[in-house]
Amino acid sequence: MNRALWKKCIGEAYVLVASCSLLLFSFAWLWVWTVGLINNSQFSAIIGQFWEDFQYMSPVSLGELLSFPGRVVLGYIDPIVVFTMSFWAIARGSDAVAGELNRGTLEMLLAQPLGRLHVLAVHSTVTILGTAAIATALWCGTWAGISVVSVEEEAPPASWKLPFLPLEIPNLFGQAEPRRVPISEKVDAIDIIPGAFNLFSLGVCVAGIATLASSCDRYRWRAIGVATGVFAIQFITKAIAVTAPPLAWLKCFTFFTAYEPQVFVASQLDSPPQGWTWLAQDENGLWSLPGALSYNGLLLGIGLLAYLLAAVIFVRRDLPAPA
Amino acid sequence: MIVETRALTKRYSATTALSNCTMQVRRGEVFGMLGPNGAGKTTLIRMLMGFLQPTSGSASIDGLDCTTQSLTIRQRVSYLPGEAKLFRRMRGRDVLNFFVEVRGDGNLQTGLAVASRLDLDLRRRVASMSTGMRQKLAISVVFANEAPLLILDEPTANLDPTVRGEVLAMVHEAREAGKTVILSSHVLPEMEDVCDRVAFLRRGEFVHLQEMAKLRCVHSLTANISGELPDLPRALVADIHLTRDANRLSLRADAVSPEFFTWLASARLSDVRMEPIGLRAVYDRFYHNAASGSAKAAS
Repeated sequence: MNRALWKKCIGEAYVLVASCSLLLFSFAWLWVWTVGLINNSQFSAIIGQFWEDFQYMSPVSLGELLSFPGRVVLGYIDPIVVFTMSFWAIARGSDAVAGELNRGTLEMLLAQPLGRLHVLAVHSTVTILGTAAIATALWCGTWAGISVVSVEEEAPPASWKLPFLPLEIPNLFGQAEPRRVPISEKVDAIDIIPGAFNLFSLGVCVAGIATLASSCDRYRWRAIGVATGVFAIQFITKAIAVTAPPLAWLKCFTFFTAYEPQVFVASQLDSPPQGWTWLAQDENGLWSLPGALSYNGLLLGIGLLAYLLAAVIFVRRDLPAPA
Repeated sequence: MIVETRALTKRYSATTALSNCTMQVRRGEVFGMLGPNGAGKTTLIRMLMGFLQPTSGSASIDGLDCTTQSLTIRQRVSYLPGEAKLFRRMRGRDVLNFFVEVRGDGNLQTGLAVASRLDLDLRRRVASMSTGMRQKLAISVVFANEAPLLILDEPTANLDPTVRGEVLAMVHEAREAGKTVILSSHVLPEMEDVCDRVAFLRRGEFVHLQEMAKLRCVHSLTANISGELPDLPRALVADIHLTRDANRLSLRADAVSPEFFTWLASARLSDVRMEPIGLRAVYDRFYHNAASGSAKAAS
């Protein structure tokens, strides 16, 4: 691998990766902070009002949604998170071939003893590493928030302790005392990792599709248009499939079906933990359902297949002269 | 031969960019390619570089196939594109450094020396450079390595006359150093100055190959003549082509020898004008006639 080429690719990517990482780190921290602002009973009251009508849209049960890990990971499906990751992935993916062609720099680059595959591999590796960095930044923001934020809860009134006897009598008439406890007592940041990994897989998938569009074209704006179009169609398909139960079959035609950070975090909290398994247990306890790793594998598989196709097309195609 | 093409053809659906091009470039020569826009010069060069796949035919450099062994070929070739675009956010020195590192066989000091010779400020970012400065930077990149074959697609475009002279001098020096240079240009005097042979392309077809050493011997002469013209010595008959219109004499001498001047001195000439025929005459033969033919057809 060529050191100069690595330096160039990293130099082109670092501003964007740093910006996206900072944004998601701050977002995740603020999200945990807002979780700490609203105590569980208030949140339950808010959700309870809508649950009857909209529970079919939730991928997790009410209990999982109301739990602190459930509330923290809810931020991972926020449009800010999904769109920031997709923005990064489309920006980088579309740049791989069409970007260099559009700027006219590919001609000079490939006039050197560098294979086309080599150039694409370095660019794609930097993109995937950047995707990992952004997903990690999101998780780090969550971890930082969990480390410093506290949450208000109602402590039961102190019980009476009988002298000389190992007995305590609960105080049924006293009033519950509000107290603040660290949120880290309610949620472990480690349990949120499957959600961050799911975001990373989504990023690789979108970057692969954008790279494929880029490898076929000579104009970057058109590659961005194609990749954004695919993303939008997939997103809308998932939205329709979730909101209209008769059209739930549409889930089979969108890669967003495999983006379910809430489900994977809830699976991680199951007993036994299923956040990192290929199969998951069904209602009867049988390991017959696809697990978190299968969903992530699907996203990564689509992304890597798109990268493979992009490489085949790029290696075989004629390169147009700089305009 | 360092470069060979055999019936090389490139078609884009209805358009034929290059048709049945067969030619050879000798090791150590400066080989020029001439032709109007769209003649197929850049297509031919880009096929040699492996950027375009031939529709049919083949091309090789140093015995290596340009399609299947392009990577090895590019270790032996230094290429200047017609529109050299460089990384805009880098400074000039960083660009030089980048290409020297990428190639592995490059020499930064040589690149810096070339840049200095071309009076280029390497502290500026590419984005803030003029078109001519970017061209100078690209030329510095190309001359910063020791590749035995240089392919230069219009190297003097966008350059001022002084720098053009420097670039042509560098081409001369490359040939002196035993390198082969393939040069594409529209500037006929430059081609006359540096090339050993010039290929003429027209509408994707290779139409003529001109040995410059022979062309440099060909002269045209016009003069007023009074009295009879002495008979041409037998030795000159093959090389001298005469036309006389009343008192006006025109001739083309394919070779100039002492016998020719002796014969000329014996004629009673005045207002004599003699000049090398140059590439212009050859160019006009292939392109002016073709252009007027097209115009007539259109009218």
